[in-house]
Amino acid sequence: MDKVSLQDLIEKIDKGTATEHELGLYNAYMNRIAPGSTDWDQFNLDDQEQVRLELWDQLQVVMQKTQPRRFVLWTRISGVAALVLICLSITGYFLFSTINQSGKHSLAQVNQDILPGGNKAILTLSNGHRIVLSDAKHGVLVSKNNIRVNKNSDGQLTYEAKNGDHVSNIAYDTLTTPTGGIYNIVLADGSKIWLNSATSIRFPEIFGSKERKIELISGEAYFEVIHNPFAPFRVATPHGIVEDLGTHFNINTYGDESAEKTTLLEGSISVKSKNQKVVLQPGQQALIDNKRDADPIAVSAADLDEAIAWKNGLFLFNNEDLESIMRKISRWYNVKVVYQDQAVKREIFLGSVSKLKNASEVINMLEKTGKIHFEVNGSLIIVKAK
Amino acid sequence: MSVYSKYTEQELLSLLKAGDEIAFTEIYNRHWKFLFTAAYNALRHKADSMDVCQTIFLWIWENRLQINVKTSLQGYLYTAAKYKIANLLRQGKIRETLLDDVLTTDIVAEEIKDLEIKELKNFIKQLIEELPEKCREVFLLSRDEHLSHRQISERLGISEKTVDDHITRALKKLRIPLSRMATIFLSF
Repeated sequence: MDKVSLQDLIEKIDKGTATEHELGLYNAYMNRIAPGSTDWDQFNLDDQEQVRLELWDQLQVVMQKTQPRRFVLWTRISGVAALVLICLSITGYFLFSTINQSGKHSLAQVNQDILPGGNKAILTLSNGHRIVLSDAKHGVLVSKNNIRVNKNSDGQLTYEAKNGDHVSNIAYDTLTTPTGGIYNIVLADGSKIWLNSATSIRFPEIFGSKERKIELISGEAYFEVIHNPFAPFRVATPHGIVEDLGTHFNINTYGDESAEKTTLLEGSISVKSKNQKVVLQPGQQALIDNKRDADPIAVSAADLDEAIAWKNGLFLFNNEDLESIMRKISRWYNVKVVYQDQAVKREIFLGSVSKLKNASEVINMLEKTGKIHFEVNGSLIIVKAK
Repeated sequence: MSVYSKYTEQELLSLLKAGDEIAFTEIYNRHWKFLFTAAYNALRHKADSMDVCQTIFLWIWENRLQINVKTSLQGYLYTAAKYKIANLLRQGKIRETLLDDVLTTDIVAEEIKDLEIKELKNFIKQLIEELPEKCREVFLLSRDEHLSHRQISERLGISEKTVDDHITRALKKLRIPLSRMATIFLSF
């Protein structure tokens, strides 16, 4: 068959004039041209989970257009929304500084700078209803027969179980932070979880009596678990299960990092991968390779300050290479990073800076080392060798 | 995992028909990857592939009451995807090298699967059923009774121009046009 005959065939299918044989032929060719698969082209495509969410968000936007009342505006990863938000804040900032006649900022400067992230997240309830937490006023967000969900004035989400009411059917909610967002939540059992940017957790509204199981779908989170010997607290991650034995710990499982890192600060936890289980002592870190998660778990001494710097509002780079540093920057400032010079990715840096600073200040700090040079173009950061 | 993850396809479809959004989410989660890779294998373009999937899932949601799955939900969605991709092929969105490769290989008789043909027929039938009544009537007269536009205009007592319009509209609708919306969102 040639291209023209294939075009004709498609035309016939469209018009509905194709014979049975032609329908079959068309189908067979399309099976060859567009074979579906469950394999993932990791090399050319982004992280699978990222694509799934992106597509879903996009779908929500069009569905919302057709059915205005059904869907709460879903601004999570949408680049447009983020951009609008940034533009609005920049405009606001600019107007403000003009009114004040401070004269300190030129338009060019203000337009160039990239503001840091903040308390932003989306809560998806078990019935599919979504609440944009950055917009939601504080107070009671949800009140059902067995739970109450509160948003405090300082941007913390609290789940409270109402006594006595036990339901057989446990409802699961999902909390997701966008790039440039962080959030923290107190679960129904009093355990606290801090979510770093671009992170998603799924948890039951109330816990059963035998086990408390939550899922860290992607990203990074810090846990302070209220120990209960009768109901172990388990975190299912993409590559394993972390079980607390009364504890403070951090799990980093970003798909673009090389390994899933679990760091124990206090207490005791076990980390289970596909075919191994290790118990960590405080100060230790367990690494499961993202690509080869059947490999033995590597246990080493951890830099605790570095592991939870994000939770304390800091970037802390302790002999960290530039590529890893820029991944953190892109997650917090919601920027894309490209390298004009690949060798600079391996440059090592040491230092710390507050995450409340604008991107330019962080970048200036890195530039001062004299090894690299950045060019900022909108939300794109181009890294060059000096 | 939610209870929905345990539901069978039939159960999910019944819930979908009742307008259950979580059932829709579950269907999406089960099938998006297969459809996306199908589109991506043909188009090698992330945004276009996402567009294809978006159109199909949106279509499923909007037409949930009419959906009539003959084989499996995956088969049904895949049929829709192939149909959509075929139309992108006409716009030259498919890699030339892929087309050359595929077209030079011989398709053997066994590959022509009855069940898939049934699904395709069923799918096209459904697309036609969705057309507005007059438009459908005109389209079927043209297709099944092979009447010319003039003959149709005489039989239905409408102008030839109106017949033309109905046919154009029908064909356009059958091609499930790309949503512009998505393109705008993806260009960022």
